[in-house]
Amino acid sequence: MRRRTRRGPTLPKPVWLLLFGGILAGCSGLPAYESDLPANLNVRTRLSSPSVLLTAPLAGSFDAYLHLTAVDRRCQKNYRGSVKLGGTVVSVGIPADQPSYLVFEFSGRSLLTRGSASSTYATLLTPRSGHQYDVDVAYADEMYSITVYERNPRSGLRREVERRPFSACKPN
Amino acid sequence: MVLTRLFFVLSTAVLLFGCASQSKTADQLRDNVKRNVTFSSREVFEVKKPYRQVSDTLRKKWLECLDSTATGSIHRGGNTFGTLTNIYKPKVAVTDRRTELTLQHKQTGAGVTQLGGPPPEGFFIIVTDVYPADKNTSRVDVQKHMPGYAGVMKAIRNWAEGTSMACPDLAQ
Repeated sequence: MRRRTRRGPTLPKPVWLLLFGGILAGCSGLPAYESDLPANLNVRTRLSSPSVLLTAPLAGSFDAYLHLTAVDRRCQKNYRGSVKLGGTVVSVGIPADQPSYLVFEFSGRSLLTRGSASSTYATLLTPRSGHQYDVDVAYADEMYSITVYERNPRSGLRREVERRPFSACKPN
Repeated sequence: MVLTRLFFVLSTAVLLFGCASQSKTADQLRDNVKRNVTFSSREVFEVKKPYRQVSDTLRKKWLECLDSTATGSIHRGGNTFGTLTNIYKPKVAVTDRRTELTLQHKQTGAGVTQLGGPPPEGFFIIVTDVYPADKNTSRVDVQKHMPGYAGVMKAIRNWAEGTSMACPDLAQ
């Protein structure tokens, strides 16, 4: 009769699956964006998962992230960190009068299919000092919209800011 | 390991099948659609709006929404995962008589080879032509040579008709 040898602690498969799911759901592994600047970028997000496989009851997830990259005078990028976008308004401070490259990412993961998919939308934004930037992010029915508004807190005036591709950055 | 090999064999077969007549130019795509080759389709519709207005909207949304990168990971069996990146390049050419919108698609990833000598920015997968039908009517001719992309087809119609300005999620 073969003797079973113990090779360390073992966990039942469902427990491993739950742990793996927890890691997928909770740890994106992205460095958090940190800034001491006063908040001038306010992101409001509404997300609706494109598939039932990407919902928590089926051990899936569907999230949105904002990746922030500083852009210098030579149009060189310097990634500064990311924030997870959620149900509440997320406010961060980005440098005024210099361009920042904002990349919005929609990311879905499924534990059942063990697959993932993500897509991105990017824009170059140069905030003006003394202004606030409100971003509406919405995802539903496999369609999304991202709208950036510039708001002057003193006058209350608000206007939509057109998307600018990175190629619009000109070294100076 | 067996599953990994099987994956590569199937992937290669799919790529070989798919690339047999992939479009390297916009005209080649139109020709493939005319010859009704596999995975090609065409949708023509008219909107009661002046040509310039439809052209401006489609140009703006085409460049804004389809300049995208979609990444997916797939389970190849065992503990092996593969990552696939789809890079999309939208382009626009506008004249008084026609607006040509093209979308090119390039795929990269470990073990992925796009056969058939794709152009540097990828094969042409969608070509949309907008013409003035009369003073207040525009004709939109969408030709596609790739399975899927229903979201893009829906979005083009929405943009032209002005019913929604949302972007299609190219990862779905």
